[in-house]
Amino acid sequence: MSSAKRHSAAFVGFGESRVFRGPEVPLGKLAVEASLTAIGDAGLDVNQIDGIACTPDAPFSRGQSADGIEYVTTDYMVKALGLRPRWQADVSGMISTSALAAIRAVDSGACNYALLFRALHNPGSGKYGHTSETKAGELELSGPPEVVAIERYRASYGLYPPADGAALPWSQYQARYKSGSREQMAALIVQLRKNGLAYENGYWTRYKPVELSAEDYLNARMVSRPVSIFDCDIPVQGAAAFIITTAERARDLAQPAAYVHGIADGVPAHGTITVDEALDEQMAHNRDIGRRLWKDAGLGPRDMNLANLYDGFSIMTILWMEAFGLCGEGEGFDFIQEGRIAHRGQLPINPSGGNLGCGRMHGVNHIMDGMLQVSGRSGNRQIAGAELAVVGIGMGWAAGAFVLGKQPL
Amino acid sequence: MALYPPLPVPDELSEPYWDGLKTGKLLVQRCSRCQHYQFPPKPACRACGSADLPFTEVSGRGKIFSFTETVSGARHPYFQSISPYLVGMVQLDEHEGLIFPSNFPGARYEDLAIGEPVQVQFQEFAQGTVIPQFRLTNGGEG
Repeated sequence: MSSAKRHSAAFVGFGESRVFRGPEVPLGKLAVEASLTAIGDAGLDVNQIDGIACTPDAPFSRGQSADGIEYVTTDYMVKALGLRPRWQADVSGMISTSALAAIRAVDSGACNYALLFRALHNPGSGKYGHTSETKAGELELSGPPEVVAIERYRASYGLYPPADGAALPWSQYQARYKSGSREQMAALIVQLRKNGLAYENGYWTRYKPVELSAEDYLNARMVSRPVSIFDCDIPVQGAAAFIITTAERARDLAQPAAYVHGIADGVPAHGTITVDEALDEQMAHNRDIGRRLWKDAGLGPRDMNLANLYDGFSIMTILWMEAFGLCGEGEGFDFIQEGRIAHRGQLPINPSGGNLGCGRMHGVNHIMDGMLQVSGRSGNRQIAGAELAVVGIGMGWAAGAFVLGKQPL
Repeated sequence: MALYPPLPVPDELSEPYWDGLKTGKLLVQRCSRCQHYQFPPKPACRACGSADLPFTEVSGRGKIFSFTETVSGARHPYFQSISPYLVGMVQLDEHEGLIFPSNFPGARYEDLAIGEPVQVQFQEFAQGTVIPQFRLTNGGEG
């Protein structure tokens, strides 16, 4: 346990804008709202924020884009709030990458109160999935589209990394473990929608508050077999923010804190077209993150009271369960059956719904739930006796993991 | 106007690969130091870090590594027009990790299984670009 004493950081404030399906409200306004809410939640004044981090990436690329409209940077926030940060970082990836940077900044004394935010833009129906490849498609009228960089090796095959990047490792999983049917996956999909409907700011709660049945799932429109539309999170527009400070300072703030017990992240060295399409490379990387996480925390999977595991695509949750050792290799699909992942089950997973239950906030929901559960602030979603939570965000690319605890180290 | 899939633009690193395809050869980088093959072309060997990576012809024989049928997810007009279509990865027999995409021409979804042997063939587009495809060694039509 002594190795765990290195972290002194704690999550002490959370704020979130309303989520929208499209760009009705400018993204910068939502990010400012969320940030002010988080600062207020912690009982702090804006002037006390001396560190700031975000992950500014839009989850797609459309060529022209503008700070405050399609993405939000720390520069935007510094100017909007009149901050004078001693430490500032825009970190590419998922919110996990900027969150770990903020934790390390607080740990090292680079700042005392870090504002961490994430803002996700959705350009509106039918326009979300614009990648460099699709952009090329739009040039079709002036000649055959041409592609460069990594796309040059895959775009001519119609290989779409988001959905196919989930479908291909899932096909490998099915062949290797003789497990992983859609009938089995239904248990996770049904549970996460139900969990999401208990969260007041989830997309489905706001716009279509109906549970999914296993039959709904099995009849869903197929995207890339076996991935159907309900295996994919729905894109939304929204923003969220967290305040991270030292454990020592956390004791004097407005809310009970969630203490950082361990962290791990890293980028996989990939040799195939992208790492997403190869099960072994994804899993080797995520298992490595799991090993480093448990070592850093001085804890193990059996110590966890709940888990928040990334679910931008459903298969990712199963793979995180196995990578963290929360269940055995090849046993994830069996584990999610019979209510074991429900709120009163053996290991509640994504009790606030995750991405699948609340919309594509790219891991915000997972950190939020882990933080609020261990600090006893989850209201109608509170897991009884939740003292330790593991959070795993991303998958392969941009993966990052945390253990959050009720007690300071 | 006919629809085309997105077509690759060669660069200095990948030119030998694209040129090889035009002459019916599947060329990949092979490390002079550790003999590791790699695709796509990269500035350094991912096994040992060497930058001495001449292109070498490979067998073109491999096995299905992973596969899917894209039913409704295509965003590009060409792939929307041919949906549903097969796409997946093939691992060449040379060694683990030497992986190429493929559309498994002539096969149906039901024909595909991980581990099934495949053989390279070359698909040429009207613009002169050639890409490798892999068809089932045992079966598949035409």
